[in-house]
Amino acid sequence: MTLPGPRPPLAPLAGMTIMLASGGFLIVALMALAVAAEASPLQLLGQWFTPRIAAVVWSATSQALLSTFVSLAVAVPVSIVLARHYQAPGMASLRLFIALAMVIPTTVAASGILVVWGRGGIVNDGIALINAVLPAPLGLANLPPIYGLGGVVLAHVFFNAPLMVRVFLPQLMSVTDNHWRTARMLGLGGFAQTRFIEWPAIAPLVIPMLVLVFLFCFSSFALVLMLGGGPRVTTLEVEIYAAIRIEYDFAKAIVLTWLQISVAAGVLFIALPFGSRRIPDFRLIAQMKSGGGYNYITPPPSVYSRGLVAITLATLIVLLVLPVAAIIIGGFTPGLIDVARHPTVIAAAANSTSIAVATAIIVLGAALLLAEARVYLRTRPALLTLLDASVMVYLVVPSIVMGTALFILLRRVADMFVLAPFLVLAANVMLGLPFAYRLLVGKWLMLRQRQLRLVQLYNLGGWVSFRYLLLPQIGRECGFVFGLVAAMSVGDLGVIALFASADFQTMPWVLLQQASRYRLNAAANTALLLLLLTMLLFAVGDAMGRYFARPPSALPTRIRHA
Amino acid sequence: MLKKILVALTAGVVACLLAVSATQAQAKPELVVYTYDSFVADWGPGPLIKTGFEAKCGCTLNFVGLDTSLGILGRVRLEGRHSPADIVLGLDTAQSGAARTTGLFAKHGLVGLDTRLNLPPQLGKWQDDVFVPFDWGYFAFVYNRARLPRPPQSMAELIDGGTPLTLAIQDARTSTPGFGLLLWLKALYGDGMAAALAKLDGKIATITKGWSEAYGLFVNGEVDMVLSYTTSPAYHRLAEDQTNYDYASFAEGHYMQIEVAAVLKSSKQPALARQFLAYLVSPEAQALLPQSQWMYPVADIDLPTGFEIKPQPMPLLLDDGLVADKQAAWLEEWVAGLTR
Repeated sequence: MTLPGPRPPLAPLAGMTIMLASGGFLIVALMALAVAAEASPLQLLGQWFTPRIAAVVWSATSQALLSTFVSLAVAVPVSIVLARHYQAPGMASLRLFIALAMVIPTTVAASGILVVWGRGGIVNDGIALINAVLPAPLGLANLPPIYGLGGVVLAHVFFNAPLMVRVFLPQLMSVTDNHWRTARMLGLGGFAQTRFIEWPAIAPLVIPMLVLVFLFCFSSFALVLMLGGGPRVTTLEVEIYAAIRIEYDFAKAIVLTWLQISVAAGVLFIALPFGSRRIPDFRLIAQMKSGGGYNYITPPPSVYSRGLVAITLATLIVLLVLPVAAIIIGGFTPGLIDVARHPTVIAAAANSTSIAVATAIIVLGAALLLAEARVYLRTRPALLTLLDASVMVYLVVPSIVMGTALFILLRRVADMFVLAPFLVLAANVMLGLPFAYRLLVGKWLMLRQRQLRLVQLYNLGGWVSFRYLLLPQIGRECGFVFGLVAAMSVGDLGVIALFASADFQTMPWVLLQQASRYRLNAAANTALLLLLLTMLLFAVGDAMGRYFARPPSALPTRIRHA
Repeated sequence: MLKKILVALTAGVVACLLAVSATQAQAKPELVVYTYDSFVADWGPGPLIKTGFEAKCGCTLNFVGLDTSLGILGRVRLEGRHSPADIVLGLDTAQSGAARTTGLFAKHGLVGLDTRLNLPPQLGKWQDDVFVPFDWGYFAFVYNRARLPRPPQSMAELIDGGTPLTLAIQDARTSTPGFGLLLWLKALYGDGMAAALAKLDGKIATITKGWSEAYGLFVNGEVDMVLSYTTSPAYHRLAEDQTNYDYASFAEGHYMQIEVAAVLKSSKQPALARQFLAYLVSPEAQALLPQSQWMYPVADIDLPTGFEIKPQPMPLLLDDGLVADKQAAWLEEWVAGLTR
């Protein structure tokens, strides 16, 4: 298949340039580290596979698999229930909590999770209440301590189940009237509806989401350290951090980074064929979508349907709503106003917002260009794999490795303190791009495929077809990705910590500084403010999406005369 | 319309970033001090010391607060002779051995420093000719009297005792107190450290990345005791008027952390740098530290009421050269002890 345009294909060329730059930077970065290393990574290759490293890989892999599949097991029924009862009272606020959970900064979320699951947490309080009523022999035992594998999986589900729901729900909502008419004629029950309509609607997205979530959990850092309970539950990311920070051993860090990339690549190569074979399914579903409207059918009441609703709502409330509510309530103390008016906090909020907005704009543009490059590379599987890999790899390259490499590369060239905001921006772009690309590429491919003939027939230019054919259809997704990336980078401490100085403070940094000076109350206030900022950015993204997706009010002259 | 919005957005972003970097480019540092980030935060002593020193030196003192990931030492090692810093402030006695072997630091040249210092007498004279101490503290397990009426009286009792209690400690690979506990156990048990840790593991609820996460868990009642400093109860007494926090005094003694500063050989203004070090240990600067750093001052000054500790614990401190030599091996033992 060829996609000749009326003009030279600038967009895909730009996309391929981004691909080469992205892949190339990784190689340059690792080489820079290797040059600065005191030992050669090659010498280390012989001795890296110690029992400890094997244990770490095993711990990270099993934890990530468990987190991924539990997230899926939560997300699928939740998506189905939310779709079936889309307009029921309270559903809008549930969707809001789901959107929030996805973007809360990790350390903030961890404290919310502890309020629910910790020793003096809400669940244990509930158990105590029940025990007060029950006769003693029937008494329930308190929760075991959350720290360890359980805590890490719980936290990962908290973040990733909402992401999956956010991706699955629109797929369910776009099932067409035809299907529902058939379902009604056949008298499908709740379970049959899941089996024949709902599951097939989300199935194509399951593998890509599993891959994304696996990579996220496999390379998790802050949550693992906070809730893992000790070195027994760990990830390579933690070992890489220790290698650079404590041992100043860049060679070891390079070897471990390659190991982490190799495991991730293994997973990608297992999953990628499924992903690309599934791409036509994206198209199928979106064609059905043209029916439009919310005609979702709530199946006739049955034990299955009611049970599903009850279990799902209970899970949602305990897993997501309570921790988020705990953060919000915990932040509303009398000190809130003082903290919000503090010049440091205001400056940090401004810095964080600039970085987040800039990151989101660049990531969105780059992701669309990459998707366009993918359209042109469809017939070259090797290049396709390279494209996917060079973007996705940043999910598993530790930010401390990237940050240190950037530092080494630039230390002689320029003043690090002037560069700091740009470095933070660059690193955030690389961390956000995999998410954005993964979430946009499927729909983009489908739309381009569908509109190919139209574009050829009318000989439409790139900008016109983007603005009037593509953007109205993919605008909402773009807005969502904007909000997600902005929220992710506003709450991210990992990269910022490497370059931040007293002159360039960000919200997560201020939060950490307050907490490390015994100011736990101020930290709770700041956490709430950070959460509000995150929500605001997310809402802005959503509003942008609606704006992009509105149908063009009038055809431009260029089309009329075409 | 959309094109205009995109252009405006792009322009806005570039403007924001330029504004952000411009505000940083203006400052023309004269004396640059690398330190850790919380030292220069509004809540730390940095701003006060800057004001105090600038009133004397007729110079601009620029603190650069570095994160805890690459660390101050990692940063100056990477920068080598090209470092823009004159002084490094905030290494401690667990790192000074490794720092010394880099050869990047110059002798402090402060005459009669030892006579001006007020460190525990058991340590003997301060003989380090490179690193200048500026504050110090003892690691300790802190508890809430209301929750734990009978805390352990010794490390042995903490490890072997039958009282059920839960601890939050910090990761030795990522946190200063975490590494402090490793050294504490090393000083007490030598080769038996891993075994002691394995026993202690039964009481450890969680091991956090940094001090603040563990302390937050403790204050919120998640754990009975937290690894912190003997000065933590003083914070609660002085800043919050809460008297129910205390530390468990251990019969074997408490491991020490002494925070130090040093001049880089590459500094272009060694005299000014030395003047700063002298100011740092002067009573004027030292008086700023107790209630901002929550550590003990090195100068012989009056402590705020409620700050002093009785009885003085037996101080434990390993030679910093030994720590530097063994660090990697000991960290492996630490991981092994906790993954048994």
